[in-house]
Amino acid sequence: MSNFIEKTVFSIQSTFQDMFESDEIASKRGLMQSLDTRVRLVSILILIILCNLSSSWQFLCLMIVYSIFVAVLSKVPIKSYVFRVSSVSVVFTGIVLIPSLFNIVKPGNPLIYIGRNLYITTNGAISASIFIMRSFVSLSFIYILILSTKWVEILKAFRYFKLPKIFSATLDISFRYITLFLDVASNMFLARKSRNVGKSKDKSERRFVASSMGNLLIRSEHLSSEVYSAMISRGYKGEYKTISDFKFGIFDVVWILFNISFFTATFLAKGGKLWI
Amino acid sequence: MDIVFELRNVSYSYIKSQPALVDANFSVYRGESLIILGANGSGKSTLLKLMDGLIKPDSGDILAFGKSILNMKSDHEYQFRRKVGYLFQDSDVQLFNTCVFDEIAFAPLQMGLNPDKVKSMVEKTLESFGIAKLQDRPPHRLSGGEKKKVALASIMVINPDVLLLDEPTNGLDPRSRKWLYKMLSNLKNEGKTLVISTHDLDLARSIADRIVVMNESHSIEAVGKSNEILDNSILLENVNLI
Repeated sequence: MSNFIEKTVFSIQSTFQDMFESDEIASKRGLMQSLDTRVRLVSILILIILCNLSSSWQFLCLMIVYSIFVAVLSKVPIKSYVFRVSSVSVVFTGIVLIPSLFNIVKPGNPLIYIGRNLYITTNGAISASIFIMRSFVSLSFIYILILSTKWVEILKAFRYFKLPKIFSATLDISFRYITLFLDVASNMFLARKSRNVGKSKDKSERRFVASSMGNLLIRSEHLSSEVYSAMISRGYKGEYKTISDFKFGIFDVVWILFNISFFTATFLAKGGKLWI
Repeated sequence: MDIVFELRNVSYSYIKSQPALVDANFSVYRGESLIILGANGSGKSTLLKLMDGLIKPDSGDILAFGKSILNMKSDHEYQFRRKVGYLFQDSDVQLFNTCVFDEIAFAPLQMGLNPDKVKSMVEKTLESFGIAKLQDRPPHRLSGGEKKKVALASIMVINPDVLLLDEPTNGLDPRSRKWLYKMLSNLKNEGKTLVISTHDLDLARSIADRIVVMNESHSIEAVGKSNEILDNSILLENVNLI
């Protein structure tokens, strides 16, 4: 708790930094960036479904290579991409999967003995690896989508696919104001830090955090009513109307045809056995 | 002269024991620039919100273009919103969309205009405000001056006849302030009716035709011509403006 405030300020600033970087990548000229957002959204969804339908490790290895290839072509920073995606898919998913490695949960041929009656089974190890690979590929595609697409474009695509407007408008406004509140929170922590000498007691730190949360809640309530007034003042009547300016181009056609050919070819290899 | 707004004995309080506005009576005439002068907390923002029909008075009546705005029906509200634009004191309140283009397109789209027409209206507005290069930027990445420009552009896009501006010069750097003075002066010359709440005496001197002075008891202290009010140092001192 001793440098709790510093850590909090640092995390808030890094969140801002992440948001800034993601917009920068979305503005670059890359593979994903050249596609229509609707095509991007649907193809990422289909790719995720495809990899989750498969239980073949060869196919999943191919998908890992494919996702890395897409990330490179979309100018996603590879170091942070591999670190972030692997840390979630390998570390977190791996921890959850530990019990399923053992003969108690997943009976099968012994692979490594831990004790006389406790061992890791081949079946358990294979299923865990497949699960981790699926998680890696799914997270990779989501990561690529988020970094290569501006949030506003994703929301517009959601609207195009008839996501209820109230839902997309709520997301829209939340995204807008989360940055404002991060800024307010960051300033509150900095103001506290500027008046803080030496080490604070845990109790006073907790009290500060609780009062900051309360303060933010009150401010957010006030802000939400002001924003609603600003919307009413400009003619809002309960239905959030927007313009969608999507353009389906030649890149989208090439991308779709390439993917159809690629996945048909992988399906046909070994008479469809590669997928199963 | 045509009366655009008429306030009759308007009172309002957020909490019953603390009035925010007491017995306000005045009129706004077509094409004039009316400045509402008052110290912080005197009730200027409340007064503008009441005039924009965003809150309802506890007592009294407000007429806009000859009709009461207290219980507007859909069609009447549509006409009212097309004719009256309101600039909030805090631009962050007003800029709730995720990019500048959408922000400026918001009002005409909500008013049911054709999307193609809205696009051309937005492009023209972006050009005339010199903010075309900001169109894809999210509002939270803009400077204070840029936010104010976008906020003003977002209400000017529908070309309202009356502008209610709440502390428009607050927190602006000298260049943005200069730009705003010029913009307000142009709007005045175009015949727009301006109602501006402020405690910026320089703005009042350069724009005002008439001034409404509010005191710290949340009521109107004086209404008069620009020179009469601004040269009355005793009055300005009494209401905590100098």
